[in-house]
Amino acid sequence: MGEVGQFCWGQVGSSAVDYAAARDGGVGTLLERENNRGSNQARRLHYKRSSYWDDLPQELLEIISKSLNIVEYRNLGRVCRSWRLFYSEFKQSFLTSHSPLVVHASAQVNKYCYFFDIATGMEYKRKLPRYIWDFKFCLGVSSGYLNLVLPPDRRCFKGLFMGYKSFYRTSNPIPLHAPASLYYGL
Amino acid sequence: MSKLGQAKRIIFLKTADGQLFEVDEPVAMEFEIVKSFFDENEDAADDTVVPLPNVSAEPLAGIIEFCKAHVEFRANGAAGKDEVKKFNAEYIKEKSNEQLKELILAANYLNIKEMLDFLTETIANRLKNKSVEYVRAFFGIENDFTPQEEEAVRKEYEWAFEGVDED
Repeated sequence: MGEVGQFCWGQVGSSAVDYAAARDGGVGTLLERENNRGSNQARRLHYKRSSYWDDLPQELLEIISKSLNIVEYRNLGRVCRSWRLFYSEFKQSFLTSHSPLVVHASAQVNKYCYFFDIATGMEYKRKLPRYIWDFKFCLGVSSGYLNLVLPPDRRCFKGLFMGYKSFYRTSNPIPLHAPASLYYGL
Repeated sequence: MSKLGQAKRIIFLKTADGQLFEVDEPVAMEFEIVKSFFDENEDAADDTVVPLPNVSAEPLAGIIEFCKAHVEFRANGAAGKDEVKKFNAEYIKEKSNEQLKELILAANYLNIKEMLDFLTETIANRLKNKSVEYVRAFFGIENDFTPQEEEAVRKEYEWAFEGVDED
């Protein structure tokens, strides 16, 4: 049985989908795996090999993503399930591979904040939650973290994090670093 | 006679679909997988056939064409020059999406760094500055998210970075 599994592995490679199938303990022929997947989701019942770019191995997606900027990487994760699996697994290493972004906040249009990547010259903008429209606390973005200064008024700071229940839902002390994925929108 | 014997060593490669390729040694040695095969089997006879069970004939022919040209470029000191860029552009222009996928998988399996770099860069260029819908259509990828998943993904992106150029 083990040998059969290895054979399949070698044949179909380490594509994201098959990787997931193998990890979940799925041993069998490619066809069986596809049928299993298909039954899991009605839409995939008539899975065809014609949509074949979605099974590009993760190692190749990783090389490809090195040439992409943050917005393009984000879009990669919206194309299909297997690319999304890659996107989620490599998100952190993608973020930390980018140089720190310089923050540029405009006094006039304070609904948006601009981030500038010195290395590539790429500029991003991001909607700001209203709690930090006045932008007193933000120092910059580095290695995946938005660096903040703790303001004298803690209530204000609390409000900032309340806006992101999904990221901040414990009663732990308020961190000085907000998860950057938040600010990259990843 | 001895001159002829030393002139060119030919490497024999056998594809998954049973085709036999005769490749000049410098070209075959571009394939890391072939190179390590001979490194590990130093006493392998000259007419040893290297099996390539994950590559079929069509992509292998394309890969040999690419590597042959690049080996020559390097020999002529033309590496990195416009000539090479022109060749690469022409080479990729003739390839369908399907062929490109076959090539990239094969180049990855054979572990040909230069070619893999070029091919992945080509794919990346086709993803750059493109919408999700465009990418799906271009690469023939079906949107396989359920409506619920799609909604969850959309929510995640509400605060996402936007490219400034898109305005």
